[in-house]
Amino acid sequence: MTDKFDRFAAELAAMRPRALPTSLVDRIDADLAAAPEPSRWPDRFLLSAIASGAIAACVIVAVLLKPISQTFPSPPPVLATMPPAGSDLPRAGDFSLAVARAETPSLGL
Amino acid sequence: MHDRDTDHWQQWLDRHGPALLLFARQWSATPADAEDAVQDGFVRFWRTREAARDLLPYLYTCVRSAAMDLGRGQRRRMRREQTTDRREASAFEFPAEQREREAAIEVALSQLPGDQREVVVMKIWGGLTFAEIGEALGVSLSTAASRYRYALTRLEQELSAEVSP
Repeated sequence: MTDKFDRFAAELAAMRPRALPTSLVDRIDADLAAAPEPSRWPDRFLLSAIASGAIAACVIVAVLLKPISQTFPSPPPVLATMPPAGSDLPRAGDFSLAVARAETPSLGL
Repeated sequence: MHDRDTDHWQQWLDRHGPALLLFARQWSATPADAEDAVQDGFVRFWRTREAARDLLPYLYTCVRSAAMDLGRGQRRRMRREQTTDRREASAFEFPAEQREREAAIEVALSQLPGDQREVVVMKIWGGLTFAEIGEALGVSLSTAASRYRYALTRLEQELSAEVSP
């Protein structure tokens, strides 16, 4: 900005804009007195809705990311074992064999 | 962020009202329209000021927006013109000894393009910085500064052409 500009700007600034009419101030006063400032409840409601949504989203993500094995623990595996040969423990098929023997008439009797 | 601590509306109006009225006149067809714009814009500003980042540019934005809204509503202007007396046309208070020069300045100011005129009003009579003007108008600081420079150059040319025979 040159000095010339500054001088001209100072000349402009020396001009005083007309003051506000009293009637205008009265109208603004009436407007501001008539209606109270808007409540901030809508803002608070919006913020709490956003916060609730964020918390719900976090919970859902946490549940989805949790490993299924931890959620539903599987029972321990069942191992089929064969009794050692020569033991007195019954073996698979012994029961049906015994039933068949009992129902078959003895040819020698 | 100045003026944040001034929390009574009358202090705001006392400090910025005359410049706001002059500013609103740049966008209004009549002085009555400009008063309506200041009224609507100031009330809007005061009720929503908590949301503003910088209060002074926001005040000017509200008044500018109100003036533009009112400019679209011709019926209200017609009604007010019928019910209110015609006020003095000048937007300035002239001392008698300077009346001619300042009247010429006001005419030259009114002939500036709108985007330059509003920057001059905000800068000189509103006391806003170029950054604040840019924020209020939604333009960059350099754009606001260049509009101001063009406007002053043009005003000087207009006035010197008027003085020279």
